Order: sequence, then C-alpha cells, then structure tokens
Amino acid sequence: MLSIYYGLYKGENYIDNPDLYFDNTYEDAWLEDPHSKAMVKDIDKSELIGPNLVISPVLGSIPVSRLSGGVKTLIQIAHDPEHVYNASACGDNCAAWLLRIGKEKDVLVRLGHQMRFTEEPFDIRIENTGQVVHTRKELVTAVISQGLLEETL
Amino acid sequence: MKGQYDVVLYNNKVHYHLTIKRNITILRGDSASGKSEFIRLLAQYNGSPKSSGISLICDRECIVLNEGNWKLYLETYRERIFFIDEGNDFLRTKEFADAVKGADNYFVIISRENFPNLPYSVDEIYGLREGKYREAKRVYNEMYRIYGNLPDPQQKPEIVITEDSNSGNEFFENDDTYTLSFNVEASSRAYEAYAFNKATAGNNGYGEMEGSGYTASYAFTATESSDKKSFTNITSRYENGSLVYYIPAGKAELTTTAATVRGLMRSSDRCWLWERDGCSLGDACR
Repeated sequence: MLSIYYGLYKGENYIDNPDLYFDNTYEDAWLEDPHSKAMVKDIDKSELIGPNLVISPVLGSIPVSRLSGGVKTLIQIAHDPEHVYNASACGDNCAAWLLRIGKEKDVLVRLGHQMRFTEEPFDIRIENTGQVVHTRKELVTAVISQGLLEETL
Repeated sequence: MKGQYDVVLYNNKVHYHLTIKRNITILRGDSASGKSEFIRLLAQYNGSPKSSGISLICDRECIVLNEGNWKLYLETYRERIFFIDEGNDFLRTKEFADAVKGADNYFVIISRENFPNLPYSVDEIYGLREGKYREAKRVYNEMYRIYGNLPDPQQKPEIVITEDSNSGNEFFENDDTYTLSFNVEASSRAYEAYAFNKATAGNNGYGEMEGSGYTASYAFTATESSDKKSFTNITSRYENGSLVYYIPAGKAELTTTAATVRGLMRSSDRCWLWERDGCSLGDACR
C-alpha cells in the first residue's frame, strides 16, 4: 500500500532532493526495468533505451541525469526500499504511478503539498495518523482538518 | 524594484519566455514540463554567458540561487531576478523569508511545497507548457497561470470574515462591508480574510477549486446556532492585498448576526498578509 507522510519528515533515511540523489546513486538495473521505461515514456514522453541513454523528442539523446525530477523520484520509490523520498518532486502527472507502485508493494513517501490523486477509489495510508483513505475527499479533508502541512522550519 | 520583466532564455533546442510581474513568482505544475531544464540552462549561462551557446534577453540580470551562494548574493545584489530550483533546503527557512522581505530583487521559485513564511500571491503561481509557436528546430515554452478563472474584480463582498478581531478585521471595518471575526481552532492558523458574497448553504462542504483560485482543496463549514451549513462552489481572489473567498448566491443566506463561523481551510498556497509587519494593506502580498 502507498503510505504518505505529510509535512516535514525527519527520518534519517529521508531524501529531500531525489533529483540530485538519483544522479549519484542510481543503479543500472533500475533503468532496465520495463516499469521504469513505461514511466519515462508516460511522464517524460521519452524513450529510455538503457542505463546510459534516453531519447527525448525535445532534447535529443540525453543521459539519464536529465530525466525529469518526477520520473527520477518514481524510479527510486519503485526500486529503493531503503529510503523515504520526497514525492513533492513529482507533479500531478505522477500520481497514478505512485498508486500503481503502492498496489505492488508497501512504500512510504513524503509529500509537502496536496497531490491530486484522480484514480478513485484508492488505498492510501496517511502515515502521520495511520488513517487509511480511499477517496480524494477523504484524503484532502484529513490533511486539511489535521493541519498536516502546517509545520514549518 | 518594480514593474514586470520579460525573461527570454534559449538555445538551439528550447526557448523559454517568462513574464515576471511580482517580487515572488512560483513555478510548479506537471513533471517534465521544463522547469528544471530552465534552471540548468540559466545556471550554465551564469557560469559562461558568452561561450555557453545560450542566449538571455532581459532588462535585469537573472541569476540562479543555490545553497552555496544565496546569502552572499542577497546581501550583495540589488535589482536582480533570482531563480531557485526545488530541492534547496534554504527555501523553507525563516532566514531566507526574512531576506526576501527586505530584498530589492525578484524571486522565481520552482517548487510545489508550502512556503507559509513567504508572502506570495495566488495570482503569481504559474506552470510551464509548450507554446503554440513551435518552430521546426526549437520548442517554445511559455508560462500559464495555474489558478485562473477568478471572479469579476468588481464583485463586492457583503460579508467579510477575518481570523480574529485584530488586523484584518480592523482593515475591513473601514469598508462598508459587514465584518465578522471568528476564532480559529488551535490547529488552524491561516485564515486571513474570507469574504462572502451572499453566503450560501450548499449540499456539501467539500470541493476542489479546479481552475478557480486555489490549488488545494478545502472543507468549510459554518455553524449557525446548532444547524450546520456547508458551502460549495467557493472561489477566491486577492482584494486589497488579502485573499478573499467568495461563496456565490444561492439557496440560503448566512445570517451574520448570530453566526459562529468555523472555517477549515488549508492550501499549499497562502497569503500571510496579517503576519507581515508594517506592510501596506493596499499592496501587501503583491
């Protein structure tokens, strides 16, 4: 199931900048996974040829370090269970993929904004409270009414 | 630093045209829309303007801020446009917020996060999209306002609800609208000013303001005596520097005299008008 921690996550295994972290830690095997290729195709509209090459319709041949921050984050969430990633690096066009990953395995991510999960019903566990929600209304109401995004540095 | 500035940045593959109107502009939106690519190009241009192969056209110098340079640059530079990519920890700090408030620069922040310490307008939250002028060799990227479709600016609220009886309430008392203050729950913080245009009870108290003013979603209930009434179809816009929420006329009208109004409003975009010291109400949050 997809679990989301809203607000400032303070765990030692938290990665706040998954875009940068990916560039220095990705494993080739992650980029040979058909799911990763499908994510890159869907989000970046590009072809992930392999660990060293992406074909972008705009930028041409580029290294994987120039994939979008959103798709890098998705790939890490799907393949690296050791860390909690900041999913606010993902746009709303990544929401369906987060739910899809959550259907396959238990993952915990952090959000600092209200992502729009449009594919209802879903199973999302709000890590802050343990509440499991199934609709956008439930999710948004829970986050709002409990002030989960209120904390600041 | 005042006025609006066009920023044109391009190389042989991509072309960006941004129009920066206020001191704080937020860029967000879908992944892979070119936000970070813009920062990458600008950083390369900053490092080597003449030999980067990148062209920048702007009446002001445009600079990428990062963890290593932001303090020095903010202390040193005036009348610059600073661009900041997501992932920079300093964005959420009070130290940065204080520096922004005292700076004579513009800031363009790429992030989806909350920045409750920063006084930015919901009108200045943009996304990037591929423009309609696509050349054979180059993709043209332009800004679009994420929260458009705002109500008629001439619309006048009949009731204004503020967080408490202080600042916001005092301001609107000088207006000829009816002002009602209310206490916020302990867990609540940001209510600023809520204006009602013929407050109306709807069928449900939940909604998401798609394209009508707010990123987030809201739950809003008004309790009048023991009867709970909920509102829907709320829109928002800035008025007199304050974020104002409108509830359109409809079936029932909120009685202002005996009402205890409790709002539950959260969003990733807020105006913190009443937390600013010494601000001018007319131009705060702008």
